[in-house]
Amino acid sequence: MCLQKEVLTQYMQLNQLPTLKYISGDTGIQLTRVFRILHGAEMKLKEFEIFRNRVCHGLGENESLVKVAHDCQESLSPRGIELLKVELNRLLAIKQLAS
Amino acid sequence: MLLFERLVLESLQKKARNIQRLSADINLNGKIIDNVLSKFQEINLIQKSKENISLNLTNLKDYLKGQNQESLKYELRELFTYIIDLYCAEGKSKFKLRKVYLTPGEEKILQSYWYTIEKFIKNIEQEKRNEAPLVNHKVVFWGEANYLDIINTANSKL
Repeated sequence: MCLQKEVLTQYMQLNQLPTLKYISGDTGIQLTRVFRILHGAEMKLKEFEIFRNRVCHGLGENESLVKVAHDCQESLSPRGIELLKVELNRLLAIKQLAS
Repeated sequence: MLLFERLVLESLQKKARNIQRLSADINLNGKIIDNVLSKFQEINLIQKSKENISLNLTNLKDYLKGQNQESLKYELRELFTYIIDLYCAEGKSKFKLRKVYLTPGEEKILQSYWYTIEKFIKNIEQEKRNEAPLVNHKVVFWGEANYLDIINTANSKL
C-alpha cells in the first residue's frame, strides 16, 4: 500500500491534481475503479503498473533518473558525484521526515 | 542539518515547549515534528519531561560543533533553493541580484552599506524577541562575490 500511495502521489503531482475522468482516460481504468483507488482501495498489480508507467512516462523515459545517474557517474568528477549523492540523500531524508 | 531539523532546534533554543506549541511556533505538522524529535532523541539532543521538550544543552554544543562547513553548505543550499523557488514561482521573496563593476570608491560605499545592515540586524538580534513565533521571523541575507571567484569555482567543478 505504501508503494501504491507513493505512485499515486507522484501521478497526482505530475498531472496537477487531475479529474477522475482524466485519470480514467489516461490510464484506461474504469471511472468507478479510479474513484475507489483514490479512496484507498488496494490496486491490482496491473493497475499499479499502469500508474507507474504513466509516472515514468511523465518524468520522461529518456531522461529517467537512472540514466542521468549513470551518465553522471561516467562523466562527473568524484567531487561532483559526491555532491549529487549528498543532495539526493538530503532530499530522501526530507521525504522520510514527512512520512 | 535539514531545514525542518533546524526549525525544531531554533524553536527549542528559544524556549522549552510541548509538541502543540512547537507546532504552532514553526507551522509544521505533528508527524514531521515527531520524526525530527525522534532523531534528536536518538542522539540525546533533547530531553522530554511530562510537560515540555527541552534541549540538552551540553550535547547541543557538541552537536553544533560537529556541524562542519560542508554540512552548513548543504543546509544553505537547501534554504536558498526554497527562497529562489518562492521568488520565481510566487514573487514572495525579495531577491535582488545585479552584476556591476564597482570603482574602489563605490566598493567602499557598498561595504559601508553592508556594515550598516549587519549592525542593524545585530541590534535586533540582541533584543531577543523570543515571544514572536518563529514563523513570523524574516530570513534576511546579503552579500556579494567577485565574478572571477565564481567563474573559478565553476571551473574547479568540471
